[in-house]
Amino acid sequence: MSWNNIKITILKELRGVVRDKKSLHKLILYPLIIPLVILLFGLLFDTVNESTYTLGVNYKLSSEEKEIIKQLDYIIVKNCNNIKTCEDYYKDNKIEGYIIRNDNKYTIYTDTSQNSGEIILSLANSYLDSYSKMLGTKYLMDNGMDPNMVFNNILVDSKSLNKEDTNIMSNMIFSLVISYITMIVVMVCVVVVSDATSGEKERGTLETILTFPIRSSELVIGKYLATSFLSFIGGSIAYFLAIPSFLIGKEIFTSYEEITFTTSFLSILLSILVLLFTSLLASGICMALSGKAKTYKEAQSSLQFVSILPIIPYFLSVMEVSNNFFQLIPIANCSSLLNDIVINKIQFQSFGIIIFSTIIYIICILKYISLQYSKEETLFS
Amino acid sequence: MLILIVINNIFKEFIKVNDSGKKVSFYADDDISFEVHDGEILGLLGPNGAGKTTLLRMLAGIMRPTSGEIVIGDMTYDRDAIALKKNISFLSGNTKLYKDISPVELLKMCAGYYGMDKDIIDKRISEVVKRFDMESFKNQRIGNLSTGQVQRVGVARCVLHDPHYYILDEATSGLDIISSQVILDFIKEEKDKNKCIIYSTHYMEEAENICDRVVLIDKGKIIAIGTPKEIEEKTKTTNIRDAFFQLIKEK
Repeated sequence: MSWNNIKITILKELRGVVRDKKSLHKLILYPLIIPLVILLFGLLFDTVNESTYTLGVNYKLSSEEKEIIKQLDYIIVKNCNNIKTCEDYYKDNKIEGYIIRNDNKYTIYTDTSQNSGEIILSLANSYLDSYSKMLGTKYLMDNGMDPNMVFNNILVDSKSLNKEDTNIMSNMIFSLVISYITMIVVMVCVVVVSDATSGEKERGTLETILTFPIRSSELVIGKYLATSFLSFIGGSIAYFLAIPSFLIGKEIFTSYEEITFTTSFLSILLSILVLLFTSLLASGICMALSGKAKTYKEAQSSLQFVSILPIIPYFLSVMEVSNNFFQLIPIANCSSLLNDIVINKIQFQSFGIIIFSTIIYIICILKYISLQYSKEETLFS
Repeated sequence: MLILIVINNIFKEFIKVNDSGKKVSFYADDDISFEVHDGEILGLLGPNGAGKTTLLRMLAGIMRPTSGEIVIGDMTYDRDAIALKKNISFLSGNTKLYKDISPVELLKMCAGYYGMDKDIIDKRISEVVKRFDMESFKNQRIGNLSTGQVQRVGVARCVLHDPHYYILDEATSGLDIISSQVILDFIKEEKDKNKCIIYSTHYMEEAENICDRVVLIDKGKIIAIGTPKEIEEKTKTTNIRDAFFQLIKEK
């Protein structure tokens, strides 16, 4: 094995990517999407959280009712005098729902097929429950009775078992971004491996290199290390953009305030290690799968499904499916491990098993691609 | 004259899918045997699909014969592939150069692969740049060069490590007269240095002018071997083109 030949091949591949505008742009653009996603979703969630809903009423609010409404966030009451005006306001989207009072009967009109209708129904119920309770309390007190014996004879309180998941949407975005970091590793692999293998065949330069005194194993290892390095760089850029973006996001957006993740040295070190192993594995898988492709495009289409692997744990967690079985799926398990490291939920036993199994996968794949690339069907397909 | 390249009963089998979708085997090269001598230019002539390129790829060590033996000097690819490739140059009309690098960068990369001594690389590159008149474009990207300039870079790549064996496959294909002449001159110069050259072409007149002997191939089989004059006498024709057609007709 000549390390000189491997070194020259690595430099050749790196130079090829750096000088090819398309590949270079992809290497930089894929990670740059991350801060944009974080910024956009932060703005979106904050806007949703700050939204207010307007409720129409056909009566004049008492001072007690006004006080209750004031205590309920997100609701504004608009007086519309009669049913006709309420209906017109609703049609003109000036209100999201309305209450019609007839003597002592309150009827709530909302469209519960819409999200805003559901919310306004809940808010109107809260207001009327509070008002009813207030009237009851006043009556009991006027008659010398203790309202607590009627309304507070039992005390009810609720607490979330998962303290970190207070904001589900922002935590979902966080997990999605972390999965996307692994996805970038694979996406960069798909681009650079397609170019280094089938692209080289298509351009006719593979025949040139085969005339040199180089073993096919040296050529394969050189290409493998170069493509692994490039995908590792892509993944690292994504990681070092994502973590500071969330740190800044926590300062700017209220929706991100409750996201918890760690930025300890150990976490960063382990994350980088996981990205390195993911790159080595993804590059090997891509080289093995693109071996027989004749053209760059053919290779890319044969590798597209690999890009989905990192996102599997995310979708399974969203669907609340038990996540044990995907520990066996290469790349998907690395994506899951990276997420656990970043949110400081790492189990070192699981870390050891995944890294060990990844090393075994890498060794097997390297043996396979060395064998594959020594065959004429692969080199001249 | 020393015999430098010996090709013994070479067969090369390929599998292809026929019109009815079935896999069938065929021989691109079918029992090919000949020798090449020191200081000789041996022409390999035949129409497209005759098996020339496959044979030359096997001679260059980038394909393996299904059966048979290739001995170059006293080495074979089975035993001494790396050492053998260091002393061979393969130039083909099909092989392309990296477009994103300059001729000098390409030559440095080649020198690295050939394991040339770092102290002599720059000097050797300057020599070949001068020899093939590449000074004006040596630092431009290959993708921006004309076809003739690219072919000169390809030839410079071949001579850089000063090999003893040249395997040239359709090296002048698609080139204009001036660019072709650069390659033909280079072949003659190397012959004068007692190098061993196998030159494949489908330009019969070109082969007749520069080759000492020719091997005529059709459908993977040798149909004639000898000097152009010997083949013309044997077929009672006046040029190698007519001789080729005569032999095909007889077959």
